[in-house]
Amino acid sequence: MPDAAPQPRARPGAVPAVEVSGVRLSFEDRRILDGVDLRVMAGERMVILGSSGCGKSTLLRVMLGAYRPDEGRVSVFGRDITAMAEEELNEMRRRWGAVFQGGALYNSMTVGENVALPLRENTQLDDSIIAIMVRMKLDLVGLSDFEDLKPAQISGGMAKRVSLARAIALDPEILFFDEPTTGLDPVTGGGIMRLINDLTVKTGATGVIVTQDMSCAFTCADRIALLHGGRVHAVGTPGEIRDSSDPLVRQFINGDPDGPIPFRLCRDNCAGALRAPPRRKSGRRPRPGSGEAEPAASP
Amino acid sequence: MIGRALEFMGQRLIGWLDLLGGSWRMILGTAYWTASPRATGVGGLRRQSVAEQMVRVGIRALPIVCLVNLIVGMILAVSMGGPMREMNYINAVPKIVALAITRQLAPMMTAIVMCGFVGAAIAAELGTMTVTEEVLALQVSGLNPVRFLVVPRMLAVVAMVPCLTVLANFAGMLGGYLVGTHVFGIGPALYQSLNNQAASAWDIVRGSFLKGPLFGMIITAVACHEGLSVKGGAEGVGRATTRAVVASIVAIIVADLFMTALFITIWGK
Repeated sequence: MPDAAPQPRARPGAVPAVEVSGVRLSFEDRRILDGVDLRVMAGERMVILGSSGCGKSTLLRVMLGAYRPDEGRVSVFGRDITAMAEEELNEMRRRWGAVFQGGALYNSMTVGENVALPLRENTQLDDSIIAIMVRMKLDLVGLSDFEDLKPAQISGGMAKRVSLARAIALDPEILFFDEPTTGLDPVTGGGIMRLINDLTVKTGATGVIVTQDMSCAFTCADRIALLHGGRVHAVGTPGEIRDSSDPLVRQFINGDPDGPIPFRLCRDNCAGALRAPPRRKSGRRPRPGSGEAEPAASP
Repeated sequence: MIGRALEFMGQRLIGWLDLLGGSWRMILGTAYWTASPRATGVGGLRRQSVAEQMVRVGIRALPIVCLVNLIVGMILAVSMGGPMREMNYINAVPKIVALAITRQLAPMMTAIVMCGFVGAAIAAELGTMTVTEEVLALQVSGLNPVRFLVVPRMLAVVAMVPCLTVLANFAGMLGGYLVGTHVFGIGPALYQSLNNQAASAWDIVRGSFLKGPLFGMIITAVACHEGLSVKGGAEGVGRATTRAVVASIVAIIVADLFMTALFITIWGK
């Protein structure tokens, strides 16, 4: 199963909701993503696992259109978002919702206003309808009584639930989660996992969940992709991953400090081993496909 | 050694050019989102947010702007009163205070106070929002951060700085009046008469309504650019806030020089 070009498990009749092909991305001299290939089928929950600093959140941001890759493409429902103009991309962005690690709630607004914001900004609904929808969304995440509180007055777990309510405000087709259970106690984390599963089932939304929490991965995933060294190292169902004999997968599942994933990493963490091609004297890198020679990556 | 010095200077230059380009982008973005047809209706200009920012920027800054300008007027009168009395020319104090306040000090001191009061607040607020991924959350939900965060602040500051400058003029002249009448014994009626001879409404109008909006634009553009470019957590927010205040004060002083030269070229004074 672990190989350089993992093949996703095809579902009968399913089409790819998100397709990442050959994505490379560097920040200054650090290559974070080094040819990521991943296909997330419509309606499934894909968990992207990986050690700290391996580029999981960066990959999520590439999928969200926040970072444009140096090479490769990201297609959402068959449309290449890496080639889209900002306005067109903003139209696409209404088809998905995102929940960030810290919740990313707007602190100057109340909980209710946070959830109402996408509705106010993207629809022409009356305030009374928006108020009803806000209550419905907050009810779905079990926070209907907290509408008037400010984000500073609620706990971290509640903030994530409000963030989830905001993410589903426009009934998105894809839900992205960045470390949904990080920093939460096991009970609250379990509640968030249940919410992710319930909401994706109820709404039929595709879920893309970035995490390093194995419990979250095995609870939420239809399929798991393990990211390592800037690439997808392995893809499979939770059962396939659990039964894998691949040393890297075994090490990650067992949390073993000895193995292919080094415990003591270099300064730039695991991505530091993958250096981007050095900048030329002009300060720009060779354009992909331009025919200019690209220096080999140094070890 | 020389290489390192050149590298340092080059990095500084790139930093300043980045600041200039980024601030210009904020101004153009505001112009686009205010003037384009998309400014109205869904996803358009957020009028309520502009009003909230105007209250926050204008009303809350009013006491400190007036206090600073009152004291500046007093300092000016105290500084000039002694030498003028020695030259037996004490009646020049009201004129000097009025001219200095209306032509230079009120617009510039108001702008500098606003750099600290508003520029720092905007840079810190947007910087924190960037660090806590609030800006990213806006961006990935299809909401343009410039329209959502920069435009209300820019419009509010550009509208409120001139209003504050008008009041700052009166506060500054009041400071001079208090010192002139109570310390140097100039009669109140005489002080007012001399003050009114020197201070023209035109000076107040051009200082407030030509310089003021420009200064407001500089303060907000620099602060928003710095806030939205924060990297590196809380330390980055602190650095951005400091840079926003320092850069906007420098930019305001340079802009004031050019505006003053322009006024003299056009109107001769």
